[in-house]
Amino acid sequence: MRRAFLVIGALVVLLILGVLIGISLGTVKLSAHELASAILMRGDPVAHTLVWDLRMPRVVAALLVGSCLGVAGCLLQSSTRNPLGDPQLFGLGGGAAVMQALAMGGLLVIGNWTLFTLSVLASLVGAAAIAFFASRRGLSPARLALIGVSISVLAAAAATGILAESRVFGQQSLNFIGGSFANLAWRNVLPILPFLGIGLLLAFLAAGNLNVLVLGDPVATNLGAEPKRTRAIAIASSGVLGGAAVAVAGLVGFVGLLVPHLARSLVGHDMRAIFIVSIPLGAAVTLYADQAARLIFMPSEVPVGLVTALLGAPLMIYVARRVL
Amino acid sequence: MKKAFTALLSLFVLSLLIVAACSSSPTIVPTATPSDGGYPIIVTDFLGRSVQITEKPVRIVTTHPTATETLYRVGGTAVGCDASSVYPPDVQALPKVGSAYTISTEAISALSPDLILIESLTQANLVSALEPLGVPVVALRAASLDDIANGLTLVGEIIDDNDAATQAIVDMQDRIEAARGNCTGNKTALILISDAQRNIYAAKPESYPGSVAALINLGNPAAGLPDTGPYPGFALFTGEQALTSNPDIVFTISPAPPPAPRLSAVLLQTPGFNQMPAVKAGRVVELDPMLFLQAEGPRIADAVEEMLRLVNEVSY
Amino acid sequence: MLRLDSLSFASRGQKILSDVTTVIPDSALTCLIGANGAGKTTLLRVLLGELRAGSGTFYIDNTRASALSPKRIATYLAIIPQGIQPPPDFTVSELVTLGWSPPNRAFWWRLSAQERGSVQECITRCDVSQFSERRVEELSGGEQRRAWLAFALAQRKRYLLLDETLDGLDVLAKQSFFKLLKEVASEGKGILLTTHDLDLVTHFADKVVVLSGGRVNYEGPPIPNLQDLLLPASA
Repeated sequence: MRRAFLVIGALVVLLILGVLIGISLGTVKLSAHELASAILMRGDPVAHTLVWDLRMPRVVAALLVGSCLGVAGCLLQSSTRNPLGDPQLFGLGGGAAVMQALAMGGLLVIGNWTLFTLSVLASLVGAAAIAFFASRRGLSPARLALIGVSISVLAAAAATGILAESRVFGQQSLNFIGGSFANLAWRNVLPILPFLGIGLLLAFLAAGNLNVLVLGDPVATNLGAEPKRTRAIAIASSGVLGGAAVAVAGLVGFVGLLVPHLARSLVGHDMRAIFIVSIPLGAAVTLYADQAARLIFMPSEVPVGLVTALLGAPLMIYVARRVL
Repeated sequence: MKKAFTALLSLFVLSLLIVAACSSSPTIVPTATPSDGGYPIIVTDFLGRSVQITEKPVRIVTTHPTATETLYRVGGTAVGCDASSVYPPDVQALPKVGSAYTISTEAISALSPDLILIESLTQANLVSALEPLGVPVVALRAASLDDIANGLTLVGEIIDDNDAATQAIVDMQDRIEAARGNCTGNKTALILISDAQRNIYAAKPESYPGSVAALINLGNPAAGLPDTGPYPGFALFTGEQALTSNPDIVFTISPAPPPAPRLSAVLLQTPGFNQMPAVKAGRVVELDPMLFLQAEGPRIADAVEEMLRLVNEVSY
Repeated sequence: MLRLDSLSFASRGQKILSDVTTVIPDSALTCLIGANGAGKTTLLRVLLGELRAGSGTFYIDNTRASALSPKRIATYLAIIPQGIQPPPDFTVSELVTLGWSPPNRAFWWRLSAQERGSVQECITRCDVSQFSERRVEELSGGEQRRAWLAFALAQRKRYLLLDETLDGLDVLAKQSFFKLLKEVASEGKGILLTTHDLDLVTHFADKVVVLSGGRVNYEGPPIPNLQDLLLPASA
């Protein structure tokens, strides 16, 4: 565990650096002095708006969404004993995506908080399906992954269909690789906090037993660990976190897949260490991916999902070859 | 295995680059053989294809608002059109052959057409799909004022009513000139549209709505921006860019029909955009998406007049 | 002791266990033998509470256990299931530590120094202390079994159930493992081992229970010619 704390320390430094990048770089150039004044809310009001209403919400959103996804991935992978576990891949964000599409098409006119709550509840439907299948004896990891992919593809199709019906932008091919942190106001970001809190609370309840789950259900039961209950709590937590993440940023894929593997290579195989490191690691990966998406081809932007896919897809192929 | 993977990856990236380089289309100028009213005639359409029309077409099917409106503007009529064509009002009662993105060749053939008018930029793939019908297919385009004029001429030639075509062109040009004459002062207008991912794009002068604005001498803060994002003529516009631009008036286009929210309302909540002086002062106007985006063609004159009216109505 | 009284279990119309009555004593190594399909694993699963007996009952130290949940029963019995795979990357000491950990432990649970000592004792008792920091998956078959035994010991339960744990070991490894089990049993554990190795059973077991066609054909001290008892009495 000591190594975990070292890694967390390093990540905190990276995060601070990332936040600075996020608020200082952009199409509008600010000098160091202007930046400092803007942070302190002094000087040019346009600079304040730039820093506090434009760049900061985006940075904070990336951090919070990243933590949600990293933890969700960690919980899914360990509780289903499946190295491909990822909230988007397993369809846990699917229900939320459908809600988002309904809202974007104007078919659901509701306030932000209601939208968030509905998104999380809808995601829990996908979570329930995965929990059901994961508890069945003799279901290979490959099959579970396929079930999850089917759920997520179904949800993406539904969401795409809803958007196509409402003709949101004339002639475009509606590809849902999306996910974006662009144009987020504080009111779009802050509602994630209570869900992050609930999700983390549930996660901590399950996290103590994650190591034991690896031994298989019969032995885990024999140790008194109630694997079915732990698994249910872990997957429910992933559903809450995954749903809240989609409600903010849409389908940002592969972060949940990537983070636990990265954490494992940094701190070893103790699930508790991996879990605790996933929180800042998910935040860091997503923050840097979003900054890359935003800045590399400035003033154009690449969808953040593209960057995470570039990082995560090769890993997915590697893991699938090795393990499945 | 690793080598194979790297080779495959490089090939993939290379093909992406090639596709990107080839996607610029050459400029085609259509021609029609000046005729003495007799058929057959040979015309060149906007895809550069030579098409032979053996006799005066009486059962014409159109697959795009540009085609529909150009045809009707020179006095022709159709026996079927796509679902997106809504002008002139007569066409709403016509049998439909699909939406502008998914045309049904079966529905077209059921109408036994003797001519099919399509759009060249988005429906070029229809040419091969319609070949089995053995019916002449002519592609039109309305990417510029010249295009529209040439399109009117072309269709006029095809249905043997050159006078109507000439008249239509003259009308159109007169109205545009009149509008330009009524322009007051140097105003700047930012035209915005949003996509499914909450990204907001600004129409550059090269786009259809941008060219309408250019015709009445409105300045465009998006001029000179690189073509970013998937839609040619539109540039991705971030909150930061909005924060530092100060157009006199903001036009918004919301292609999705109600109940989808209007972009003009969404802008009030979007950071950066809601700080523009024009937005704060309420100088945000919704444009009709059909007129200004989806039905490019002879109604450009209507669009010009409408935009001028809106510009003049707002108090600065 | 574990006292089994007329346990019966049927699944899908098939009778798997019929009227199983026997006693598994404390501080002794009891071997449960029988042909494949005789019902050995099913009996273990009934004892663990995973399966509910159709009729009959069993007692653990005079507590009526047949109605208890697997979680409650887990406080008395430790199981090493058949064919168990070691968790990837775990070292022997990490595995044994897992055995020691309390159920549903909090996220921040840590071993105290004293507990670490006790865990080490289990490891030493099973003769795997030289592999303490090595990964279980890298050890030989016999060494892995010992690591699992240490894991079971660390749970500090009175009874250990081992299902075909000797499967796949060579003769020497089997012998030394049997010896170890016998020693551990005599130190105060009631061990029930299912196995096919009749010679070693005859040599090392304190008690033998023969299961044949779901019935107890013989229970008592080891006798020669046990193989004759494997066939159902009616055959």
